[in-house]
Amino acid sequence: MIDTLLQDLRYALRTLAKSPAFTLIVVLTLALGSGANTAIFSVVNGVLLTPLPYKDPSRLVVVWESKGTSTHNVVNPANYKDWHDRATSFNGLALLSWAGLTFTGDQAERVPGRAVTPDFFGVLGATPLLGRTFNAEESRPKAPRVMVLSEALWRRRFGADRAIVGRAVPVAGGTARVVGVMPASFRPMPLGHEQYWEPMPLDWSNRARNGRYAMVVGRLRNGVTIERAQTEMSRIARQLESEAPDFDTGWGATVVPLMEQVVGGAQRTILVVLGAVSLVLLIACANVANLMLARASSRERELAIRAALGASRWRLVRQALVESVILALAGGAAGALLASWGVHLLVRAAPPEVPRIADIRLDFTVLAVTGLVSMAAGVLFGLPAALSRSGAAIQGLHAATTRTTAGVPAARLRGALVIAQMSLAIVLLVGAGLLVRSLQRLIAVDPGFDPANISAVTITLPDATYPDSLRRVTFYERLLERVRAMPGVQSAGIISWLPMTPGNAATSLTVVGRPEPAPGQKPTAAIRIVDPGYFDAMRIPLRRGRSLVPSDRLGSVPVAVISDAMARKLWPGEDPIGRHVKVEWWHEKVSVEIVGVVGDSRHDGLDAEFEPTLFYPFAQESQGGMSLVLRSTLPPAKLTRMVRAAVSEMDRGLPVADAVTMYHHITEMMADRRYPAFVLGLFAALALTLAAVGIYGVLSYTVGQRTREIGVRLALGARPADVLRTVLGDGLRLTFIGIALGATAAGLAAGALGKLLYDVRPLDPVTFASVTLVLGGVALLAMAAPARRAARVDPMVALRYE
Amino acid sequence: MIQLKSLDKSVSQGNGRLFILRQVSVEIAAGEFVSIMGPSGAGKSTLLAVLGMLDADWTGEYRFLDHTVHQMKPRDRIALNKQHMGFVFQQYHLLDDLTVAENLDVPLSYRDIKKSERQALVADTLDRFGIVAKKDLFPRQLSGGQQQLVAVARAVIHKPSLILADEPTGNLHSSQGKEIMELFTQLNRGGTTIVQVTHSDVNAEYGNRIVQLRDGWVVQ
Repeated sequence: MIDTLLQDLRYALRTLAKSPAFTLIVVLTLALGSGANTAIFSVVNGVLLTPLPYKDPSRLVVVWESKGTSTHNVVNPANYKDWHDRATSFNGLALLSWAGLTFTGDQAERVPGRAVTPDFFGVLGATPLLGRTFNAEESRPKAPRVMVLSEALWRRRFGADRAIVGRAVPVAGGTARVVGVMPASFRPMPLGHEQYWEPMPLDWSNRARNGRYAMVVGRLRNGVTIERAQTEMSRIARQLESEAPDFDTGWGATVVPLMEQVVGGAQRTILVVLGAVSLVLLIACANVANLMLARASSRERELAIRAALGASRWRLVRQALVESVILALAGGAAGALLASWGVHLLVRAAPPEVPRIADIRLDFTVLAVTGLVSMAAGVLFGLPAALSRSGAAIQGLHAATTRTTAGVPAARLRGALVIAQMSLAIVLLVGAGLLVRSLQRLIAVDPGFDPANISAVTITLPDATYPDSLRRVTFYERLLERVRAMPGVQSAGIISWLPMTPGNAATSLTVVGRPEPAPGQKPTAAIRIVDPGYFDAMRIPLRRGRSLVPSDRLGSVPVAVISDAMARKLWPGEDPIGRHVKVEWWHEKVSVEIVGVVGDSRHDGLDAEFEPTLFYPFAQESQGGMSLVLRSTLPPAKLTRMVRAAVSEMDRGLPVADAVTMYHHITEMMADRRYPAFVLGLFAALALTLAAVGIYGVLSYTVGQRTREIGVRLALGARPADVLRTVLGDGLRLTFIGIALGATAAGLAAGALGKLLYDVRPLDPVTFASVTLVLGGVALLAMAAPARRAARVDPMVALRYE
Repeated sequence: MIQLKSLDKSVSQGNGRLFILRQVSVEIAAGEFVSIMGPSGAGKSTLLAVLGMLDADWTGEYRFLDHTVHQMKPRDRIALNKQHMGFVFQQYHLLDDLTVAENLDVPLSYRDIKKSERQALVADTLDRFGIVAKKDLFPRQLSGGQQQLVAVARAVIHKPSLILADEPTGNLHSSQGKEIMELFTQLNRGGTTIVQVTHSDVNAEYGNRIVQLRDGWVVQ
């Protein structure tokens, strides 16, 4: 058995080497199909299949607060403490919030981090690479500042110096002592890109409930299911509602597996892309199957001889399959090479929101799966040819001496394969077309401000050196003055939370003069702190009242400007100007007067609804981290240099992030739609090319087979146009059937795109019509050459063809 | 060895059927050297294919040794073919991508014979047919006569009791044809039954009996 298999192998290699063009085309076609699959499978493996790099990760969960449709809301620390003390479903529950610090010294740098409770690392089952993690003492308020570094930060900023542990490093406002370094495998938690950890200073003797701003990670006890933990947390949330009705009425808790939290909405996108790339592989297989069939018909003589010499049907099939599997493995190997480049491209092109980018790589699992898929593909594309060849050989043994031509069944099979390719290509084209149409619709959406020529720079003033409002206001006012005077800058302003960036700052408020709403029924609004020049810089129109003015400062009447959406929500049909609200912000007792209404602007992306927003004047309600927006035609790099120079003159050592255009932010916010559209578009183009090659191949082969018949027809008086019509008719028949079947399949599959679509129905007629035209046009182009060749057949040459 | 009784072979044509063999009844004893002759289209090659169990689409009775072929399943017929028969074709039909030695090995590899045994058989056959020096050559490197010599060697390597030859010298010039026919005679003397299809009266002389076919009927 082994011996004869080796014989088949040797013969197959020799045969393939004898037809280098055929072998190359097949290997390349398969390499494209399997390379794309390998690249996407490496994403699936890295993101969806590889367990998270923590001890026993399936028992890790994230617990959020929930209210109404907002099921994943940030957590109030006092509520966390009650969960921690009462819940029995968990071995541990840790609290963490977003943090950041500024390293000073030669290279000032702002670094994102997380403030965590001391049990955070224990809950995740993580041990440090160097040193230790935090103890309870270090979590007390006003305890000396300590931190644990990520491996990447330790390597990048401290040159992987093992002596860093125990050393105090300069940070804004003093120093922080490094107590440990986490290993590279310890990844950032969801919704963050932290590079260090610091203890969260919490005083549990004061359990005042104000503000929700943290997240909770827990480890389920052995044997406890998510459902049981959820039931318990809901029960505790109901207890808290009755114990703190002002703060907790209407609030519940949601327990989410950590893996689900990490992967989140990316799962659907990844699976859609995996589906698309599988179709590409199927199309490639259909193409290769067609090539193999064409080749098989030219090898029927050989098979007939082998059958006459005693080969059973199984031996003939096996020999054909050995050849197919060799081709498939060669295609898989070439595909793996392409994939190594493709994975690099995918990771580079991926938006930062794609989870677990660091886990995406070509590893043994991916390569093993590629090998298996290649083998399966080999059988898949080799089988039609193998069965048709061996069948023909067995049935027509005695015809070994006669010239053989492809039979009707083989021709039908080739036609069916072309139809399958066309159908699959239509499905991909429709998918890509719908996503592109969604993007078009989205790009046309008005963000509510003019993003042209707007760049933004984020600056964070350290609390240590800018501890009070006066110093912060002075810094930003001086900076704005300098920036506005810069040549090339038309206008400038600042805002606490830049539009079209992830995250939000929102809270509930009370309308002065109205009855107190029932617990949990208070209206909410997004809160932004801006300077008076912000609306001009962003070209956000004033609708009513007045805008903010420089005289709106500490000591003057507390005022605010609201958005149209907030006016509509809180004062429908009324004039909000002169009304007062109390906002549960820093000064929740202070009554703030509404002095103006501005146009709505979108915050969470172009597909987001207008959110009721309240704008405080920054001179009354300042904070350290602000984004400077500049309207200028200067390139962002130059603006960065100019702003850095201005900041450096005011505070040497204060880090300034790179300027980023507003268009870039908008594009980033569309990444969850842009990325699948890009990838699906790429695959659709590949599918279209393969389908075109498929129909070209079949028609070329058919014309070759029918040369004598065409010659006879021409000799009998047919005009070249008649021949042209016959050949094109054959091709168009296959194309139309393929389009009809493909459009039906696409109609059924388009629903899978779900939320990836924006303002476009899955059965969008424009997309379907455009795709049909594109495929029909490309198919016609592919048919042109064989049809012309047929029409130009010389009857005299053709009749000597035999 | 072979008994055909009232064998018909037809194919559909339009609304009716076209008969290729009609009521063929032939007996061939072991050790005979029979020539099938007749004009083009008489059904000679078809009869050879039926005898060789390469064609299963016929009616009538066919007995081979002690097997009733007409009652056997296709798979069993192929097994019978593998065990007892060897083929020689007019076009030689050597496999182009295999060397002479590999071509000789092909029928053995389909018969579950151990590699060492196969190697011995190939070596023995190369020696017997005087083509040892050509064992590593490919068919395109051989003359027509040499190719047919290899084809005959391939047909007999697994020691069949019956050789079926379809115009074995049709593509050879007379001296090469003579050599092949003498080879057949030699094999026949060694006990191998030979049935050949031929147009050539000279070649038919090498056999001891002629079956004449015309329009599918046995006429002599």
